[in-house]
Amino acid sequence: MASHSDRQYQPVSNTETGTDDALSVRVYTEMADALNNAHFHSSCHKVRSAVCFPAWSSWDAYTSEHVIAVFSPVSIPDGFSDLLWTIGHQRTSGAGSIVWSLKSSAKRYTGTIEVFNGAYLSTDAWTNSITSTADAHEVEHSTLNLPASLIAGGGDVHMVLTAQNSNGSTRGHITSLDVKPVLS
Amino acid sequence: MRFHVNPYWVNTDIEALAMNWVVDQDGIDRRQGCRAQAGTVMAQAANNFAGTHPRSLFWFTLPFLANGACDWPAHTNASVDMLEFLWDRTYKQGREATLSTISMPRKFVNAIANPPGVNSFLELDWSGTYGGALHGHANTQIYAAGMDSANYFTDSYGFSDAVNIGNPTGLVEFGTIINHAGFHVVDLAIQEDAAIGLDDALNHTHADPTLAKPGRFVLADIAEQVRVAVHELRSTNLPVVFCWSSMGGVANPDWASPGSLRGMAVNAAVDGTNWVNLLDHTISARNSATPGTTGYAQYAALGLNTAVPVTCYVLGQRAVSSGDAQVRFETEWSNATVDLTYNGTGTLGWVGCTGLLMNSATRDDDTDNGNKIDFFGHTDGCAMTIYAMVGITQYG
Repeated sequence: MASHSDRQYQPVSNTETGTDDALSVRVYTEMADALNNAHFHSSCHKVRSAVCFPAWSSWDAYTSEHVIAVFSPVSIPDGFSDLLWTIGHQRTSGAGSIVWSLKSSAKRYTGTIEVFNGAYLSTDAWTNSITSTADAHEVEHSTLNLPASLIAGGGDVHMVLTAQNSNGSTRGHITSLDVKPVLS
Repeated sequence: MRFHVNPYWVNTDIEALAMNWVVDQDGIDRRQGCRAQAGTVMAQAANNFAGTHPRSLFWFTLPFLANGACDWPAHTNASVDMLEFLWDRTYKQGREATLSTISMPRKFVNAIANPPGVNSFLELDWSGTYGGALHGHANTQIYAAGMDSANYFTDSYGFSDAVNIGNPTGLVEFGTIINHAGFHVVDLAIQEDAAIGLDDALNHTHADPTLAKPGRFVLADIAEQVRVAVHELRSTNLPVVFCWSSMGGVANPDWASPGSLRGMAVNAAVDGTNWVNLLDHTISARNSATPGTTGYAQYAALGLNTAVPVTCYVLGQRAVSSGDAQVRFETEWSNATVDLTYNGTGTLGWVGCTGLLMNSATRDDDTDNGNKIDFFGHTDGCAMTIYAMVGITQYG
């Protein structure tokens, strides 16, 4: 048996679907593939698409992990296990690195801003990072797990974006953040 | 009539149910139809999709910058248009939407321009057209008097409220979020509600699983109903690719290049007449690394095609009545340009352009970022400012 989501939708012919006619099985398998394709690809909605203007910067002279943004909850359907996230980033001063981290939680973050505190996320929260070390613009992708409580039945995902400079003279910013649910 | 929607998704695999032959006891292949259960499974899968795939319509975030300070526009103290957006009202399942916000009390971290007032509150109004009459309303009125918070998101308020957006008309509808004089909104997301209780009285797209009768060939009545439902869902439930809104820009525009929270600005006196990337004006041409937004379009085209069309909309204006003031959207594969003609005379309105294509053969995590959409602006001797932009995937 096989199910497919990588077959692009082709409108199913209705020449075989006249009332009380026996049908080719092709009609059913094409519709099954179409729904799988729509679920994971063509109708899979972003959890977040942020055009960061003005750019979202890490803080000056600050080396602890600090909160850049706390996002409102967005519902995602059942059937996904991860979040694919993409940022456009750039180091704007210094020679060190800036670690951008996205957190997925089943509840809203209510901790401190100036030093991120993971204890305020749900116990099944996850974190994933992209490290920025280039003075030129870069675009990178990474994958973040969804909380287990959301994998089992969908629900609202709460996300937090943090930044951490490797030393006091290093700073960076991001120009975009895009997040999409995926199954991996 | 209501239809049951199982919230759990399973990859729909009906191969075993839909084989059109059997081997009888004499070893002869005998043609049959697929089992009735194939129709039932397909109807339920279509209903699962119809009932659990709400569209995300709009996002806005105000990040914490400059060592903890948040760049509150001063005019959030008043009842003014705060955010502008639009969306495509073709999806029958989305009759209500939820506005979820995270807000901070008026005084936050360092002293800011607008100290908390007595009985200040957060109220979000949603108008149906740009500058038009009130359409929806989310009003929780969380009163707060003289709060003084510092550093803790425990002082933040997260709430959600439903807004009725009514029957779909197939038209693009405009929205305005109005913040009444109380809290500072640091994040806002608008998402249609899942139509988990499918109801044919509300004209929800659905399929009736009971039409598949065991013990007979699967006939066309249910197949046709599922076919129609699948096509309806696939052709109308299409994602917003990107959105950006200024904060209070229409009421208080910013004309100085490169702009601010109050608008993306291109000014010929600073930028010349070249095309400039709106997120970094030192860039004049797109490549895989330049700033933009990433569109995810893998396997999202039709049939053997690879083109995934995106219609882009801009709300903006130019400073003078003549001369070019243009915004261009660009992927690796195509571009589309829109002219801003409003110059303060007449009525400000959204303008749109077609022709931007994403490529479904490009992986969502493609390192060449072919589906990244860059934003460029260009003026011919004048200034322009952009209040909001939206890109919506189109069927075709």
